[in-house]
Amino acid sequence: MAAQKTDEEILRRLGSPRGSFTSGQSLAEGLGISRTAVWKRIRGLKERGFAIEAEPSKGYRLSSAMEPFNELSISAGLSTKLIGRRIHFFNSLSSTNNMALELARKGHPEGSLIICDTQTNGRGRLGREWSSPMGVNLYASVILRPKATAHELQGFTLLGAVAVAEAVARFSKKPVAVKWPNDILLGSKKVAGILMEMYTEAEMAKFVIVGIGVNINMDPLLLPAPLNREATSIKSASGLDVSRAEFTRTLCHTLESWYNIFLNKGLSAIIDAWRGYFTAEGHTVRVRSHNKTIKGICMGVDHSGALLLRDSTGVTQKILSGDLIRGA
Amino acid sequence: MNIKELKALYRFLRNTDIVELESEDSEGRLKIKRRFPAGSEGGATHVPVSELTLVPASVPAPAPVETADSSETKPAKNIKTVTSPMVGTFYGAPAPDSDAYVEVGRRVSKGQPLCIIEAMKLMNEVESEFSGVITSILVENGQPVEYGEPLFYIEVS
Repeated sequence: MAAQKTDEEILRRLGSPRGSFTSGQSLAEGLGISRTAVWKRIRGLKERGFAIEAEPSKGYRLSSAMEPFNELSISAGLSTKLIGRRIHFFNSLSSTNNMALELARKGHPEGSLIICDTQTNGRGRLGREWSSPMGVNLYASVILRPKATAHELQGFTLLGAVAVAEAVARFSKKPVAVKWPNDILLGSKKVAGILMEMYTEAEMAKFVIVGIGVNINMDPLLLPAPLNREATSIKSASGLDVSRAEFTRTLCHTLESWYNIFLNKGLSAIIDAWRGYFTAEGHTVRVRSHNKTIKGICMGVDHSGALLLRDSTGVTQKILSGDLIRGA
Repeated sequence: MNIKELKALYRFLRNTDIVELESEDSEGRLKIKRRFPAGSEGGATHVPVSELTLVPASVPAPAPVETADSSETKPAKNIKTVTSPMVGTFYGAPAPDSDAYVEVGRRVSKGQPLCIIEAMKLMNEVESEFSGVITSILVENGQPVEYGEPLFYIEVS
């Protein structure tokens, strides 16, 4: 992890001000490492696809061809009416969901998009960590304010899964799958995750925070074990470099269109689309929940998005939370 | 004192702020102790009025405990019920290794988070609609809950 922090710091220093050179000497002094160590780290970064130029007398800089990723580059060409009309971009946040919660509580409108380049405390379900290296991925949260009760929003996370799956598929050019309820897979490895947090008052939703993490250009081998075997990125799976700004715009569009479908037609239209990405139906799976693991044949999902599992006694159980694992 | 007299006494006491009452007659002694959320310090076990303890004289009053079947008892008027806003899984803490949001006897204020209900990775942080003291937590961590199922009893002051 220390090496990753050093790499991030090198990228940060090379990236600002944009286009200017930073000498190897000043990098070494700033990071408290030797010039040889700087050179090795930069060679490693170049091997991982970072466009770093070296000029003998001037030092290093990030190639100007490398796309900027900020409010301006995302909003240029964005034609949505709701999602992303307001963008709050940060270099670093503890987590985009935390910032979105803060902004939502202050009354920021529906569709507000919170993005950062790196998260220091990226979160998954139930306090799990979401790896958030700098400069390569998308970490975003959207504030939604559906006028509905918590009960009516049952299964709402499947909407996020469908929107992210569609956006990933447009860039990966490879088949995308969902793992119940809302992990996005490329070649059976996780490429994106969604964490939705709802805040209610007397059963009415005040707002919903849709947290989305997408591995875009990251080299998954750099992640600590066992994540390096379980995760992938769009680039790693497809071999294609992806503009994060362009991906973010696409995601805003898919989210907006599926949100409108949900508001107009309800959850059934979302679930129909979701089933098109779900590949575990008919297979033997295990579901690990709070304190037990249930094994059975996956029978798909019901009208609310709950997982249906036929156990060894032939009884079909309805499951609302847990981790789905393929295979016996 | 017969049961009829006891019931009358109970009804009388409910509308008062009497904390301790002791009476003695030819049949024996009666001692009643009540604790109120307003007077209780953090961590003190709160005893709803419906759980008056009758103790024989000279034996110290045992600390009343939350009984497992408290969910079966009908809550008193000033006991408010927090119900689940949706079908899902109940979590009493934000993460498995975190402290619980609340525990029995804890004073909570309106808007304070009490628990999370998860349905398919939609995490719903349930906030208290009332200010008062938690008198019962009716479900266990990781337990599935139905829409409208009672989760907490809160005694409002």
